[in-house]
Amino acid sequence: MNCFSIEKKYFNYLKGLIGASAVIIFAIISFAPLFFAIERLQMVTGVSVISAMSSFADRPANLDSLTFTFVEASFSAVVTVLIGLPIAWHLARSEWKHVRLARALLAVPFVTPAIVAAMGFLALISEGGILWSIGIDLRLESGLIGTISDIFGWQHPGHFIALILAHAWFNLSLVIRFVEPPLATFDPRWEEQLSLLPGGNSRINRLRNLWIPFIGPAVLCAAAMTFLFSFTSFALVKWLTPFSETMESSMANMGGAAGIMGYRVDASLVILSTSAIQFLILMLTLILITLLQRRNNSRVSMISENVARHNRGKLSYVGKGTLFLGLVFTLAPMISIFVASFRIRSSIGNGQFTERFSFDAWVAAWQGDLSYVSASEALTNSLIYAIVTLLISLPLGWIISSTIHSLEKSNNVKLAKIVDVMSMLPLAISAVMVGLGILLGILRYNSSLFGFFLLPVLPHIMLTTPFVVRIMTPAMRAIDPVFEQQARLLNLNPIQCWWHGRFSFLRGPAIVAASLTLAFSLGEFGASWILVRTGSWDTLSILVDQLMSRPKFDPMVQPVAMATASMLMMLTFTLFVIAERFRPKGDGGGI
Amino acid sequence: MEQNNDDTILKIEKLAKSFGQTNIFSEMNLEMYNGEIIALLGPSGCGKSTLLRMICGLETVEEGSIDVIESDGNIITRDNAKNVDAKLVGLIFQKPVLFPHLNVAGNIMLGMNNPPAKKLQKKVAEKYLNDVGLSGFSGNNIETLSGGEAQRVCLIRALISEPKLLLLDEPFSALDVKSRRKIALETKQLLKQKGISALHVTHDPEEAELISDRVINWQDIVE
Repeated sequence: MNCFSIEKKYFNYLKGLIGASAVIIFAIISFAPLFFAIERLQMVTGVSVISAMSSFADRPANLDSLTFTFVEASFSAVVTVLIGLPIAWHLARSEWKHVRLARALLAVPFVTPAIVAAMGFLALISEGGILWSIGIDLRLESGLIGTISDIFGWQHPGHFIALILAHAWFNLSLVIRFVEPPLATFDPRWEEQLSLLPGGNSRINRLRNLWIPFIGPAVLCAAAMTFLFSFTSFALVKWLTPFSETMESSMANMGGAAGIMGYRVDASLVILSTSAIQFLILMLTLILITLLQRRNNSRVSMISENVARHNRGKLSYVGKGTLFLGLVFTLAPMISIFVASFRIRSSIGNGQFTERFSFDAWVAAWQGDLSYVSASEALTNSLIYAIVTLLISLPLGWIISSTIHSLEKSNNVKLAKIVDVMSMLPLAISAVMVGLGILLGILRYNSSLFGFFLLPVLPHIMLTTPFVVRIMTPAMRAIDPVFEQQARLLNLNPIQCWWHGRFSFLRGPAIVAASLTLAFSLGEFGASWILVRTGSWDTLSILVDQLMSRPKFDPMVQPVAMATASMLMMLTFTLFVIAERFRPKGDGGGI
Repeated sequence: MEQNNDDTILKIEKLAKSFGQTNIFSEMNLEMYNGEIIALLGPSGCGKSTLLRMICGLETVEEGSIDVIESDGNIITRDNAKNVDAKLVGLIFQKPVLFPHLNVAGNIMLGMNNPPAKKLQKKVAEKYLNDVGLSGFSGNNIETLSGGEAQRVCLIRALISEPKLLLLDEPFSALDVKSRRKIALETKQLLKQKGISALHVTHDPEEAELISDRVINWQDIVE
C-alpha cells in the first residue's frame, strides 16, 4: 500500500464522517422541534399522541378545519393544474425567442414570500383593485359573488375563490417546472410514430397511450406538491379567508396558549391532535410525491430542447393568447401591490373617498412611523437571518447531496434513498409546527434561549436545506467523472482537480441554491410569526403582517403595508433574477 | 374522392419540396403497384426521409401531388395539411421508436386495431414475435433490446396494423452487415406473406437489391 492509497483511504473516511455528521445534524435540527413539541404537549395534556388523534373528531371545530383544509388544498391543486397545463404546453411545444423570459416571469410567484402574495391578492380584490374595478368583488362579496352566495347558501365564496386563485398563482410555476421539461424535450418521432399506428389514430388513443403515461406523473407530482403547499399555507389563509380556519391557522392561533402547564389544556390538546393528523396527511403526500418523481425521472430524457422546438414550429395565436393571459395572471398581483403602495385613499364621509398618489407610504414605512420597528430595521433583521441561514444551509445541503451521490456511486442505493427521503421530510412538517416545536422545546429545556437573537434561523435552515439538496443532488449526478479523471491525469493537485473537475460544474447550481435560500429565508412567515412575536426581531414579512393588522382608520396603514411588501418583493425578485441567470438551460426539475 | 381503376397504390406527380429558401427536390414522379416492394436508392441528405414523411402525411405537400390509392379504388390525396391515416400507410423510422413506458408486448399492442385484454397481450405478442425470432421477449423492457431486436419489434408492430403501404426509412442502417442482411430478408418475406406494398429508402445498393422487387435511383425520378 503506497502513501497515496493510505491518504486516500483516510480522506474517504473523513469524507464519510463529515457526510454522516451532516445528515445526523440535519435530522436532529429537523425532528427535534417536532419531538420537543409532542413531548411537551403530551406532558401538558396528559394524553398520548394516539389518544389525541382518536379524540380529534370529538371537537367539531377540528373537523371543520380538516374539511376546509382538505377542500381548499384539493381545489387549489386542481385549479393550478388546469391553469398551468395549457401554459406549460405552449411554453414547451413552440419555437419562440422570448420563451426563457416568459418561463422566468411565470416562475416568480414561487419565490415570492407568502405574505407578499397575500398582500398582492388583497390589493387585487380590495376596493380600487383590478378585480373590484371590473365588478368582481371577492372581498366584500357584493354583486355577482353576493348573488352566488345567496343562491347556493355558500358562505364567503369570494374569500374561497380568492384563496384558490392565490394558491394557483403561488404554485403555477410548479406545474410549469414539472411538466414543461418532459414536453419540451419530448422526441417528436414518438408522437409521429404513434399517429401512424392504430393505438394512436385518435385523440383519445394518443392521450391514453402517449400523453398520460408521459406527462401524467409530472402533472400528478405538481398537483401533489400544490396540495402539500396549500395544505400548510398560512399567510394566504390568514389574510384571504378570515372567517375560515385551516389546520395550520387553527394551530397558529392557539399556539400562544399551548404548552403551558395548567393553562388552556384544550388548546394544547387541539394542537397535539391536529399536528399529528396533519403530519400523517403530509407524510402520505410526500411519499406519493417521491414515488411520482421517481416515475417521472424514468420517463424523461429524449432530445435537445432546441431541436424539439424547431420541429414543432412557431407559437400559434392560441399559444400567444394563453401565455399572455398566464403572464397577466402572474404579474397582476405584483403590480397591484406596487400601485397600492403609492395610492392613499382618504375618507371624506358618506362613503366617499379621495385618492392621491405619492411616496409618503414608502417614507413612512422606511422611518417606521406606523410600527415599532421600521422597515429599514426589519430589512436588516431579515438580511441577517437570511445570510446566517445561507451560511449554514448551503454547506449542509451540499454535504448531504454529496453524501447521497457518493452512496449512489458506491451502490448503496437503499441508504442513498433513505437519506434522500429524509432530506425532504422537513417539507412534511408545517412551518407553524416547526415554530411551535422550537418554542415549546425551549420552554421545556432552556427558557433563557428565548432571548437568543438568531433563534428564527433554526426553522429557516430546516425549511431551506431540502431545497438546496433538491438542486445540488441532480447537479452532482450530472457531472461526468471523466473531467475529474482527466484533471488527475494532467497531474493537477487535489484542489485543482476538485475545482476543474467538480466545482466548475456545481458553481451555477450553487448560486441558484444560494439565491433561493436567501429568497425563501427572507420570505419565511409561519415559523417566524410564532417565534418572532415573543421577541422583537421583526422581519420584513412579519412587519407587513403587523402593519396590515392595524385598524384601517388611518389611510396610511394599507399603503405602508404595501410599501413594505413591495420592498420584500423587490428583494426576492432580485435574488430570483440571479437564480434564473445561473439556472442551466432546460432545467426544470427540483424546483 | 376520386376513383382509380388500375393496380396502382401510390402515384407521385411533379412533387417538389423546399424548406424556406432551401430546395430539397423538385419535379418528382413515381408510381408503384399493389404488393410491390420498391427500394429507392439515393445519397444521404437528398430528401428520401422527407419524401416518406410527405407520403404518410407527416409533412405537407405544397407543390405537385401524392395520391395513395386504397384497395377499393378510393384515392387519398395528400394536401397542404398534415393528415395521417394509420390504416393506410405505416412508417418505420431509421432509429427504432419504441415507447419506454411499455414493455415489448405493450408496444406491439399499439399496432393492433382491437388489442386483446391486458392478461392476453403477452400471449398474443409472443405469437407475432415468433415470426421474427424473438420468442420469449414479450415481457421484456424495451431498454434491454439491442438495435436489431428493437427494429424487429417495430417491424412487427407496423405489420400487425396491416397498412396498405409500408414505408421503411433506412431502418437497418445502424445494424452490422450480417444482421442487416438477415433482417432485410426476413422483412421481405413477411411483407410478401402479408401482401403489403413497401417503399424502402436506403443509400446501400446491396440492401436495396436484397429487399426489393425493383430498385429505383433517386436521380431517375427527380429533376
